[in-house]
Amino acid sequence: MFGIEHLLAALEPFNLLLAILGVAAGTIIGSLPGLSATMAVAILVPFTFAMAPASALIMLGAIYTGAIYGGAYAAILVNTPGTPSAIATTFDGYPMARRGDGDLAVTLACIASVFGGLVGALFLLTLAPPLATVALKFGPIEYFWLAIFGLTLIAALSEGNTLKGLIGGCLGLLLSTVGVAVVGGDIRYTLGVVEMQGGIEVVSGLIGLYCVPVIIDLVATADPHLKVSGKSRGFRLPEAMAISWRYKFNLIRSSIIGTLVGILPGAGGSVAGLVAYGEARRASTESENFGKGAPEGIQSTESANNATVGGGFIPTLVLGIPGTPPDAVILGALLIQGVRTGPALFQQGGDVVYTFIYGLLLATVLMLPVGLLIGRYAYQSIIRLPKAILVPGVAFLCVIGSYAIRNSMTDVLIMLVLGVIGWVLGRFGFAASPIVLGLILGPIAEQGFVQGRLIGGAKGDVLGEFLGRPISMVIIALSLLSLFYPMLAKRMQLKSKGVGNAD
Amino acid sequence: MQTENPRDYAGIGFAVGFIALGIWAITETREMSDMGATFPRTIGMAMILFAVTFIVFAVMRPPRARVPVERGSTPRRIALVAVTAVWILLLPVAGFYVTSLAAFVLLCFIANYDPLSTRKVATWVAAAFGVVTGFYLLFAKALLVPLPTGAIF
Repeated sequence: MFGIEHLLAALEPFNLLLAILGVAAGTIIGSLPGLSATMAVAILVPFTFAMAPASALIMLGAIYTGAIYGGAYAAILVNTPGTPSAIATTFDGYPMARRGDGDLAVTLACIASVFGGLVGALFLLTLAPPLATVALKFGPIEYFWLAIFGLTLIAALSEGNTLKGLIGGCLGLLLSTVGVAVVGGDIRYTLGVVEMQGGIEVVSGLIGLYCVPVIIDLVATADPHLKVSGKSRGFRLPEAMAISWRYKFNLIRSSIIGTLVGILPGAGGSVAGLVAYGEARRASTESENFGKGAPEGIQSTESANNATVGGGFIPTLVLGIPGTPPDAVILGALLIQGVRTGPALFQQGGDVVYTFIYGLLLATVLMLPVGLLIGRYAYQSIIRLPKAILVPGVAFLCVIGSYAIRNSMTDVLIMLVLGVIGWVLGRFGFAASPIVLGLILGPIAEQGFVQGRLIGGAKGDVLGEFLGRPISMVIIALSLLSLFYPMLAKRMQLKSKGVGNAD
Repeated sequence: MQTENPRDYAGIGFAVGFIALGIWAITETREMSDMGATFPRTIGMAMILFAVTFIVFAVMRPPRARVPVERGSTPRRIALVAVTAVWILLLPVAGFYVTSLAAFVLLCFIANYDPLSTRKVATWVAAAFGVVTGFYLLFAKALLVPLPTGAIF
């Protein structure tokens, strides 16, 4: 089935070269805010048309996996996710960089990305057909509850004031409804401005909410952007390896979450990263460190988002349904190559599929040296740049990045306005992360909610439709656990302490 | 000595603003179809509920210790936002390249805290040319993103 001949085919020098080039190109493109993994793949698709199908797929997979990892650089070093998948990387990556551990954070992200990528690809290699059927069991209601599960992270991200976090989450959800409605087509909250009908573009919104407050505060003082230790500490690879080993269960759990979320069409790396982050925080014995520079936070997000690469290919190749947006572009490229996706592909087109999967595994392994080298260069560049050049450089990236997504000046203006609003709200304890969470999960939640209500209404049992489906019940239980576990854990801890004292 | 912050008055003020926003969001849904109105109406109600709860807690809760707020230079912050806003507004009028060059150099001045010298300014101008030209070529020529050209360039 997946024999040695496919591995040897993937190991051909030309395929290895494509894998290295793809990972490097993807990492660089992904590191630029505004250029997403989807864009990286779409831009470089034409280069693959003249290649053999397996080689083309290896290059596209390498670009995709590199771009997802590349998003971590900007998230860690300038608090701006390079791609939406790296949103949760900012929560702990930037605090680590601020305290002088940016180099360690970048290396941790690289190791986690490689691990997550390998887990996703191994699932693709071994369990693709049975896992693809899971995707078909997810209806609108399950998607709605998945979005709600993601929103329960608000409680964790509220920085001491849950009510402010919940209000921020509502603001984000409300912002996500601006423009044409996802169901029904109503034009909402555009204030009569035609340009607003396109809604608030998520990437522009998160560039504004995360990056603009950083540069506003950067110019306010003469302090350096990041704390830097006196001497160079290299990649800090042994230290990062030791941390990764210490939190190995977090890596494994997050990678599996990433793979499973990646299988669900439309969910993508950002949802995977957020869900894995929430679970890592819930399961951690040091959950109070999350949001303050906990290595586990970076590990969970980065392993989960890279695991979506392999996970997303499962429905793409088995069912012909793209799991994530970049998969949709790759699916198009496959059709041009004459490869017909579907259940029969693994039998009839085994040569192409298994060579590609081995190629993806190799590309992910190659991401370790390539990613470490590029990450080191990115870190050195950021810490060496004087503030007078760093600030306009980051501002320039914000402007060009938010423009390039839809070639829209309105998006750029929205980016700045949201950024200033985010800064003002942040000064008074309304953190940006719940707003971003609402903005990202809003469309998924709304579509599931409205469609679920329609289905439930037609069946005459709306409540049963929302609460009675088996997968929904599991997600609801997980959401409740995620919301109340910190409180329960604290109570149990106090109780056990009380018992200890009594003894 | 630790000082006491009487109440989170700013937070209460913002909560009042969010209640107003929630009411406006719900009012707007009257002109929408049922399918389009359901979700924003629910969110508007939730926002009002959370904001009211926040106000009640903020008024009833005993005063907390004052949290130190990082101050910094407000004029520089305002200058940064103003320059970026003018830059964005002029982009389609004057063109991407020219406005970006000018804004880059202006922002260098705003972010600088060291003594000025001709060499330093020359470095900023060179950096502006390097960054703007590099990204212009990458986006406009390699990625074929139609950057606004405006009246100049």
